[in-house]
Amino acid sequence: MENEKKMITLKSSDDVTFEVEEAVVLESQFLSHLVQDCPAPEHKIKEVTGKILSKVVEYCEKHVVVVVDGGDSSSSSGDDLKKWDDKFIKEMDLSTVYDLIAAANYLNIQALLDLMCQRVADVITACKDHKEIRETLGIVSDYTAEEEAEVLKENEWAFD
Amino acid sequence: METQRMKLTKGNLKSDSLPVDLMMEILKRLPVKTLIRFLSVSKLWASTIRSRDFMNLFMKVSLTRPKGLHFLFGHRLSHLDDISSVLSQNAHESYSFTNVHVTGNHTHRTSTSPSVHGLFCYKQSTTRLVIYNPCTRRSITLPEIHTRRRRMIRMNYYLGYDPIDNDYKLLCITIGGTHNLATKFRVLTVGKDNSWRVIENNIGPQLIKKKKNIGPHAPFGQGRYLGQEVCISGVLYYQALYGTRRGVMCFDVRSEKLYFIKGPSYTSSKLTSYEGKLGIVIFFEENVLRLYTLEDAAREKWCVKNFVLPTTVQLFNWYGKLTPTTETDTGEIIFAPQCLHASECSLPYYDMKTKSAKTINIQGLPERYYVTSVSSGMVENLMFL
Repeated sequence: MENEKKMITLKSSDDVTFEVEEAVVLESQFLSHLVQDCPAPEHKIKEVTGKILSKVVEYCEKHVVVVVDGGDSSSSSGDDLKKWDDKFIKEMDLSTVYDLIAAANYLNIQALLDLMCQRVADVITACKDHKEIRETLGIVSDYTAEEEAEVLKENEWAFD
Repeated sequence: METQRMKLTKGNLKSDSLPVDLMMEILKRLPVKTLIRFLSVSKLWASTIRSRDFMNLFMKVSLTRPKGLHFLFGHRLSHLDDISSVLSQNAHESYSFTNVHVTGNHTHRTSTSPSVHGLFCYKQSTTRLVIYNPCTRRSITLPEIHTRRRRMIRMNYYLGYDPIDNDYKLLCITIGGTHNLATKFRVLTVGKDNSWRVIENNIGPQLIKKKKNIGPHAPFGQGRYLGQEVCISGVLYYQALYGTRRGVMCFDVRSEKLYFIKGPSYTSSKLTSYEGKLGIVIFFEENVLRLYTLEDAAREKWCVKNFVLPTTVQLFNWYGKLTPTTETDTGEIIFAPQCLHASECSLPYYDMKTKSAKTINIQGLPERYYVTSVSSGMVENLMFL
């Protein structure tokens, strides 16, 4: 017996539409409130582009707890999900990661926010010094040479 | 790590495109040492990492991480001319030894407060206190305490934390007279106050109800024994004699009100935190450790539990040589001798929850050290001071 699934359409800021099951939408705290409060069939999300929303939908579809026939509740096993997360994130460039962090924060999807933030934190941890971080994250330093030398000297012990 | 590196499309990335609060979401996952290393990335990074908001956020994360074990050592008994700290990231697993030099008064006898959220307080001179954070290796010398009598003055000082306003406060009590009574109370909020505030008649509701004032009470001496004070959930407790009654003085860190709770306090008893409650630990008999936990402060109701110690722990003497930690929310008591030699660095600890004893091994202590403070339940604090 096929359960009747309620479908919801999400529309990105650049008018790309995604038709998803309601269960997928419920992964986002923000969207679940939106769907409850306003039972329209289509919801426009002005803050998120189509490119990023497609990633969000992809993530939520994978992570949703699937209710299969007979009422058993199951989701992909923990290991499989972790492997999938690793692959999901590996294919992304940093600017996409940043956009996804902002989107996950806006849509209130804690697990996605954690995954993305931890990813950037891992990248930062792997950098051996401030120069490598600047290069990796595209940061332009606003320190003068003297100021930088002073900060480095003050915190010399942390470079052991 | 190479395979973990992110693929980058350089050029189109706006590094500061992420708002500061989301940048903090990323940075809060890093250890203190990494954060300090990267203060040099940019001014924005430095100001973000040093901000009070981030410090509070980082503390919230720190409190959920496994607690470390931390020892502070001095070269001489009760002298802090040189602090060395042993900090384990994972309690009872591995220990790293770092030698941290602090400028202290070489001739001054002092004691170190137990760690409060990773911060310590020690006396630099009679009227000057220093707050020290071993995680950031920063310290701050607090404003001088102005007193009429400089010499022969005794002061007890206690560090407390108010979790509502995220404030660290020091309570400094001048003690005088033949009965060692508390004569003056001074408070300083770290990072906010430029001078000490004298508090008077700050009587807590518990005392008002009984129509009592702060009253003449004698706080127990500090320095000789550790474990005379503890701060739990915004209340600082110290052992004291209140008239002829033994008990614990309570200082509400936020309201700065004082009140007294009658309890089984003796010079050899230690204050501790047990399952979030105030506990008093004392040797009842040679091999029996007795724990009193405060069940109801208003009714001064204490609950008693006895623990029969296994022989490995009984070998050690409580009074002279050994000092249990004061911050054992995990229900563990560590028996640390006052002096540690390189050859003598295995310490027994007793877990009151599982009723079992184990040993901690510390390696790499270069020479003879005196234990001035032991803190289990050590958290990483990002306060720069």
